Amino acid sequence: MRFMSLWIHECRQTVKSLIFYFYVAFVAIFFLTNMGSVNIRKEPVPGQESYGTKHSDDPLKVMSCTLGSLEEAYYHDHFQTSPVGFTKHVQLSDEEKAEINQILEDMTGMDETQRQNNYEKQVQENTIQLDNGAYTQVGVIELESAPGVGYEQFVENMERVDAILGGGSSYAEKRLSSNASVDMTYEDALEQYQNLVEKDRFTGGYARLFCDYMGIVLGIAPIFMAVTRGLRDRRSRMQDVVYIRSVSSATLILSRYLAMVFMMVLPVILLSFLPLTQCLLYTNGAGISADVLAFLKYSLWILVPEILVVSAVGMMLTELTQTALAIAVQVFWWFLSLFSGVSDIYGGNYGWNLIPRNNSVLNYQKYVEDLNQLVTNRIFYTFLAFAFVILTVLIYERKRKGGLDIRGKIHANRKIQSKI
Amino acid sequence: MKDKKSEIKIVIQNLSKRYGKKQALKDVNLTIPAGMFGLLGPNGAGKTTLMKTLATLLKKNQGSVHICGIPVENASEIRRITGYLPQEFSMYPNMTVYEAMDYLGVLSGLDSELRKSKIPVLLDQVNLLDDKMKRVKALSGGMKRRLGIAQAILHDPEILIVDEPTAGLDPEERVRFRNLLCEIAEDRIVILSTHIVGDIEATCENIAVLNEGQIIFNGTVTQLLERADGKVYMADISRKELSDLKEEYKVTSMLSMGNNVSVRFISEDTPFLSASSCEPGVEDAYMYLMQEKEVEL
Repeated sequence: MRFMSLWIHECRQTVKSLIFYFYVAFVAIFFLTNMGSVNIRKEPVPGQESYGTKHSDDPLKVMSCTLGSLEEAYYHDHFQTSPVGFTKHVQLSDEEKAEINQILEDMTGMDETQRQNNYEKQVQENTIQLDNGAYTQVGVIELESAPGVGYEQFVENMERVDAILGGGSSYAEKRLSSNASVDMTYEDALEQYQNLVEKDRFTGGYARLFCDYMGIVLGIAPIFMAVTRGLRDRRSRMQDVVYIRSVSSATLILSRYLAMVFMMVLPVILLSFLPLTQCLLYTNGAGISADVLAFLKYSLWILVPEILVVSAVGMMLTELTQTALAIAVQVFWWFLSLFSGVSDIYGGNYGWNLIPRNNSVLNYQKYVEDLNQLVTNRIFYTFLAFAFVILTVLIYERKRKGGLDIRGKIHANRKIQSKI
Repeated sequence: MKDKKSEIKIVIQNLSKRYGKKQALKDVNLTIPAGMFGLLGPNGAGKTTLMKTLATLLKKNQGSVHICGIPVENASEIRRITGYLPQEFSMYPNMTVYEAMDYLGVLSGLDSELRKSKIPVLLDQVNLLDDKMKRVKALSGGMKRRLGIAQAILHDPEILIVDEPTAGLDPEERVRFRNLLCEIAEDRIVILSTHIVGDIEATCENIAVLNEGQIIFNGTVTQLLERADGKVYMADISRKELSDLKEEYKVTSMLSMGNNVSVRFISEDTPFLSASSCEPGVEDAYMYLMQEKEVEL
């Protein structure tokens, strides 16, 4: 009873706070600029000029493209990695370069000179002159593997290359297929579309895309709400007035937390009606049976855990330090999550990333393949959020009894001579 | 069967509190009965520390505190029976007076019906009913203090702790506030902590004086006055003599009259012929007590 009353009070307070409107504006602007107008996918027809590209799953193709890419890097002595999404140039020592050379030789059966000639020949063949007179290279450099080199042996050697480069390169096992892009056929494109219509019931793919964009903004926006709420009592100089009340710390913190989360989820759900409506307008006309609840379902299970954990981190750190430190921590976590997910932007390989990416409506296959990872990820963050909330309750309880006031202690020590 | 009033008391035994190396309270022993109780002392004496310890907002280092028989360690029980008006009372500035009361009522566990019936009565009692829709940020200092009292007694506590409540109030507001506290003090303990002697004089019968973390006096106002009996003198002197007099005696008040000054001061013996002994006021008695303490040290 008291919990509900408090929850309602907290929701009302949130509605009256300026920071809530900043939050709504931030989320809405991000949504409108990224997904304001939904690009409705139509069924592919035979004879289209292009159906897009996809990563190859042919081991021979993956091997030749990857070896070609490695040879190109070796030829120019220009190695790159992107461990957390940022591209980084790696300068290798002579010993390391010699080891790369040896790996290339083992994998291709060609010595350095033969490979160089091969590379230069391919560059010449792939270079075309544009209308403006400039030259450009089309296609990718490929280098066939030597007879007898198996895929497992190849992967092992590429892992070694990745280790020499310090990790995060396109030679790591999970990124190898990204080296070999191939054109999709009509059949490929049709299969993707059929997955969208039949398995995803059309709205599923769009709901995941919605969660992809919203996931980015919700990885950072809730921290401002949490920090502002956490500092409000101190700023209003009413901590003691609240501390002395008979309400338990658990009821108080949980009601504040859940009210905050509810008020942050609400605008997200409301925004999801826009793409949902656009999808339903199309599916009704096209006779497709759409899942009306897809946006709600995906938002609740993909986005809510993110809001839960970001808010909980903010609340806990703010309660502990009585400063806005949580914003700096979250900005760091957000950058790390966002950029470490760049290589899997279209879904899959969700791992422990706070911001799982699904930047394609046609990624059903990848999504399903790694669904277990995503479920584990979201359950983990939900539990982590509640662990932080419990920690916040314990911190709050200690502070109510005059303990753990880190900021207060600094101030108290400063003031102690004048006011006890 | 004991009556309610006899059960309402605070017993403090050997209470000590330290902030790092600084001893804020030293071996405090005090029994506070029902009614208005004044806690007097200079700034930095440890009054706020004692108030906060009673309100469960600070942990003691040593000793015991029992409020109506409940040990202070049982914070949830103490919070249920205690109201607190801190030195710097404030509320969320954008809330209206009514919303602030309603919110704090929820935090005190009052149900919706009780809040609806009680809040207007309390706001009326503190003369804020007409301002119930006013935002907290628009209230004057005096109005804020009255709201502070209303919130502190919202859950009908047996103990009310009021820390420096009249600081910054104009004389009219101060008198109104004192009267309000006296009204409230029936059947409960109201502890008024202040460094303003006039507040205590006008409201409290029982008082304790705290200095450098120690209780240096505990008794009635009459007992405090008796201590200073025969120690307070009055004299009309020239302005030139004033600085010499100040060096030798503790001056408790002065009144300028042209080139002369009428002074009240403290002296253990008859100081000079033109000085006449006079009835001590509470302020004189308090100053005498503080001087005694200085001499002891």
